[in-house]
Amino acid sequence: MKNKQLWKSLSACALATVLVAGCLTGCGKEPANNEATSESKVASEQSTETAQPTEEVKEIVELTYWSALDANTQASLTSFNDMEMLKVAQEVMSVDIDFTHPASGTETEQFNLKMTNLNLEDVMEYSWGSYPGGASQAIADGIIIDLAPYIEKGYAPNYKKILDENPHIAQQVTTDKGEIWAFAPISLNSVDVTAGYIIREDFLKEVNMESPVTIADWEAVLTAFKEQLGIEKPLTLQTGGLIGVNSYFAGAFDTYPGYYLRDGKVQYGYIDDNYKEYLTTMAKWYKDGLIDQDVFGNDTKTVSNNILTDKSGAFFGYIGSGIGTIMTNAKETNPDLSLIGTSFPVMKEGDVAKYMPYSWNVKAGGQAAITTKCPEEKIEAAMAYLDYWYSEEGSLLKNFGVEGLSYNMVNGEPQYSDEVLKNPDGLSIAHALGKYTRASQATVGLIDRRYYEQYYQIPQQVDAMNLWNANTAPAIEVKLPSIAPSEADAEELAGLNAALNTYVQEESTKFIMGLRGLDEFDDFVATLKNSYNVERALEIQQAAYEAYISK
Amino acid sequence: MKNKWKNLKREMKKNRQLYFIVLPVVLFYIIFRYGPMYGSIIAFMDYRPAKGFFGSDWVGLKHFSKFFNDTYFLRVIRNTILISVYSIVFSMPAAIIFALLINEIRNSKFKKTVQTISYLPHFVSLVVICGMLKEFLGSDGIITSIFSFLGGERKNLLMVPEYYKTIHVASGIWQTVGWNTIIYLSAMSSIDQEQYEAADLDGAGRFAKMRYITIPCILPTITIMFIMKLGQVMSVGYEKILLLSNTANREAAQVISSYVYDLSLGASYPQYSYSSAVGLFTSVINLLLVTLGNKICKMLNGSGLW
Repeated sequence: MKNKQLWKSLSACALATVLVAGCLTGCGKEPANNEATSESKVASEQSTETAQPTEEVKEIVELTYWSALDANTQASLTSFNDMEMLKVAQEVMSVDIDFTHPASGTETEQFNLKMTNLNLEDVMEYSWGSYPGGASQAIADGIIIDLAPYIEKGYAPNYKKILDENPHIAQQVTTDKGEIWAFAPISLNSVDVTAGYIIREDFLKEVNMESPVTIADWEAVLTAFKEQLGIEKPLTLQTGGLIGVNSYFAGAFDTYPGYYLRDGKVQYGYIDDNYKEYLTTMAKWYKDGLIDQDVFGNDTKTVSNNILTDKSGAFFGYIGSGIGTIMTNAKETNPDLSLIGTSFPVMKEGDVAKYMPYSWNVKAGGQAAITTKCPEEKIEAAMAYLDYWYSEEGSLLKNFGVEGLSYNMVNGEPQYSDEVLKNPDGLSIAHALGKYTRASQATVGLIDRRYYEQYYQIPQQVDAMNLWNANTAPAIEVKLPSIAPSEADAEELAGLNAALNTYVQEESTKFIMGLRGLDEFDDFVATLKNSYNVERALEIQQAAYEAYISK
Repeated sequence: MKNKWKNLKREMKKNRQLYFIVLPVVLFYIIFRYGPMYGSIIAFMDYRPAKGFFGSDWVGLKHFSKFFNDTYFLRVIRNTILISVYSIVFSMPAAIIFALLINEIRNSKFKKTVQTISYLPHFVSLVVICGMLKEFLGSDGIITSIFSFLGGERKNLLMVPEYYKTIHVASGIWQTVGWNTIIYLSAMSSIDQEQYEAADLDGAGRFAKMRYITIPCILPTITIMFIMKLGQVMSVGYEKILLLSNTANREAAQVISSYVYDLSLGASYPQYSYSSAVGLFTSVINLLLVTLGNKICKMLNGSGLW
């Protein structure tokens, strides 16, 4: 009897302990951080006295770090805290970083929420250029700090060297006031076009045709696919590939659905006469069944499936996830399937394609900024850590991971090991790279061309890379740089753009589906001008562009 | 007044255990339901996170008038109300009829099986459901095939604005009908069995019993459910809309909540104040509808929510 009672009270005690422990682990982080602050205070006081990197054993500085977790990394890791090469970097730089990640797909949402409660990490990776009012406003609002004075102090020698040697890169991370807001992902002599139109080479051979170059070629090829091979939806795309960001068929008509540049003036492609020509052609293709009839309901998965199951012969996709993944997946079920990149469509043979998914040397996403929440005494350590990724050693670590694990040195060149290329756990190359490196991700550091060359394992991928990157200079003429209107303008522009985007997309959809005749195109443009105030939007963009080029 | 206060104090002392038990719930409502209401004031400000609640400028009703003059104002209001009304008109009777049918099943094993199977879709993630819908409604999907076999045109049904609301509401009914029967079934189980026995003696058949006993007895429950649904007329969830809408059907699919999402959380330039104003506006309408619905129900059949 007594025993039973004792047992009862014991188990109650045990339960209570578990509960309390549960509560404690929930909020256990705080005290640890506070301790670290006082420790690092001592450390940085010492180092500022000498103002030289000290040889003595540095104390570990604890930092918090907010960053999106790449989809490829998610395949095997739940946090960057578990990534080997990041652990190595932290050891080298004597820092201890605690990573926090927003749930994938909700990055913008989470960032916006963070801005409302100002619960910031010491370092945050984000596309800071898209902060309302631009990065300069983020500094003015006291969200992030201006790095320029610290770079002047010599806290980031490697990064400074790159900015000094490449003024056009410096321009992309400097505000009108000369502030530097972030350590940005930079590609030097790397690959800047990784997407384009991809076509089934085996189908081309079957109909005995060359890879299409002009719009007329495309029409002939797609028609042949449909009539001779019975391909159900010869060209499969998503909405963005027809009337949005990835619509490079419009380039053949010398326009682009969205904002672009012509002779130093910002243009809104949807009101171009050329856009009408483009829509006319697309509406015809849609009516003739050359374009996938489900195009506006498609997502990436349906597009890949259409290609894999021989329903489609051409699409817009990436070298990695398009050519690479689909060809790998098709190896067993459809061994004949071969995908090649085509040059960007032009109107006449010999025209130079200007419109392509070119991405700037400085990538917009994943720019690491130091926030105002980072205590003054930790800034030096944070700067040093971020700067490390621009050194030769750090760059190798970022792109290739830890030597002996994910790469080996072969004749003085890094070479991915079998752990990456033929992962024993069955990870695809992209997933393995996501586990061991941050090569494919927009993040602080340099993007190495050698990563692309080795990542693209299939000859067709290398061909596409070379074809698409052969002449990217014309893209700079038409591509709008990441400009930032002033705060008040940015709010107005956001409102205008929200309404404009909805309208132009819905109406373009109707034009292509034939629900609205193209003789009404002038009404469409008139509505954009009268009811949607497109001219005001262009005015704001133009002012912001001029401020950008004058800095 | 003072007396009342004293009474309350004595009462609380007497039943302090009960008050202690209810305390967490009260706190929950104060902290997580009433507290955030304070944030609604940003609807009357030009809210900038960096300036905070107290530093942002007051702008009065600017954002409300902006919403009323918005190009898409009528469209989002119309879509929201229509989707809500269709859901109420079709999904409530569906659940009630289904509950009546289940109630008539005498074999308890069969009854349990039917119930369990009908609950299952409720537990499937909306993302999965929408993924399936996209697949089925594509130009070569199974539903489209049946549709074209019955004489419809073969095309992607999600790209036809006229069909969107039907798809939205019908898939909603499929997903929730079983789950929604629970409350009606529990109301039916509390009906006094003697009434049925008396009806048997009078020679009433199954339909007569259903009509004259079961339905009148669950009428209060139906009323309560109806009033509660009225309180959500203006708030159609955005998740399904985001997953199913595209540029071809958006004119029929865009509702207030998805519009607010696009403006605030989904945008690179979040318009906090504007979207709060829209949210506040819908909440006020919802409140009005509940109050009105309650009054009308009380007038008609004497039972209401309060």
